[in-house]
Amino acid sequence: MSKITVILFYRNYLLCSGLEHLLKNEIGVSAIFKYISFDEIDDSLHALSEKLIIVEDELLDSYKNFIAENAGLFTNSKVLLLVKSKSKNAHMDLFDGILDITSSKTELAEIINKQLRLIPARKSKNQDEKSDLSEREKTIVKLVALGKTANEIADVLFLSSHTVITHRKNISKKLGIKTVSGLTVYAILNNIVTFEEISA
Amino acid sequence: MADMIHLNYMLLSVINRLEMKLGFGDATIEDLCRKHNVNTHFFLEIVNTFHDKNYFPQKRMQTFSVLDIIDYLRKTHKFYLNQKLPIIEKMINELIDENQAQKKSLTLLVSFFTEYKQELINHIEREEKKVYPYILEIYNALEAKSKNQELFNKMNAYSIEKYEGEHDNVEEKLFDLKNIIIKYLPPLVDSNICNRILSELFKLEKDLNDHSRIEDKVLVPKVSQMEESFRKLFA
Repeated sequence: MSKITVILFYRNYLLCSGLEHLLKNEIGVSAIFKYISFDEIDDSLHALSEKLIIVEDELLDSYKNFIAENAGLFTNSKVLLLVKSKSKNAHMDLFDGILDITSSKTELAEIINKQLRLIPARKSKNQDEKSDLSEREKTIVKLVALGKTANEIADVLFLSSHTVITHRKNISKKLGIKTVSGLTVYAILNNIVTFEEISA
Repeated sequence: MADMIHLNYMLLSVINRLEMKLGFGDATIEDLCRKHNVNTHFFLEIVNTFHDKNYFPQKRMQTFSVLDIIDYLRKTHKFYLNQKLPIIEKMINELIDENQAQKKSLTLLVSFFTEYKQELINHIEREEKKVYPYILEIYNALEAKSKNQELFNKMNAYSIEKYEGEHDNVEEKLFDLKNIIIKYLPPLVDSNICNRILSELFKLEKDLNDHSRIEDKVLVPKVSQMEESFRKLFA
């Protein structure tokens, strides 16, 4: 069962229904959205990220206009072009692959599955992204606030300065604060260090 | 010009720094640019890049004279120093007056802002007193085709490429300032003023990004070329 959403842009109802059937029954995609033009999705452009997008060749021109106006929108998405004949296609560079309606079921499924595997899974909020600092990180924030350099901190905590720098990077990522004085303000506001300690 | 402002009122700050006063009736952009001695094509590129962050015709912008570019950058500096920073500072002081209970935390915010302000001022002063005069010197030497030996020596010691590498952490400080207000200040009785401060900080950030994009992508490459042409005078 693939958790990835597939978005179809189509003109031909029958073609689209066939493709939908294939996606549901052969590949196990449950989330399928269908649109007959690109204007319909104006309000939810962000929804096109991390998806598999299939565009019928009838809509090729409007697709070209659409990506010209919305460059970069399909980052992390894969786009396939659905064509009705194996004629030479000059637009291959715009797509990640071609679905030819004359291909067999297995061939079609193979192409779609290949692209599905290439789509990165939506990032889940894991431990790393939570803003709570670990005890070790708090100690480091405190030392930074007290004006210690990475080397000095490394000496005090018996770590390599490389490790200290890695901690610093993680701390900045978690807190959204990059500068030493910013970290100092954070440390005081969160009682990791007192104002008096710093002024001393 | 009025149509342009109706289209995007953020451009008010651009015409403001160019000292184009309101009340211009139906004057066109061209009329006003002529009146204020601004190159119309340059003005159009500036407002367009300001309006749309995806629009940046680097090559075309590089065809403008360094005089136009520096003039605009200087006016932008003046706008930061005389308008933006004082407004934000005033609001932060107001914030303290209205939230005496949290005075201690807010004092931290003030000192952080003061530090940021000073860094921004230093940054601007370095450009105004060192970088721009240096560029103008090359410009004049090239115009006069003069083999200014002193300038040649200076160029060997300090080239524009170095200046490009010297971008300090002014941007990072502003980023931190926003996050401290958004995420870490204790809840205040009246957070309306915080919202106003943040909105000013976001606008300032956008403006600064636009400013440094012009410096990095237009001014620096252009001056590099000028340095090269100047060196050729000695070849």
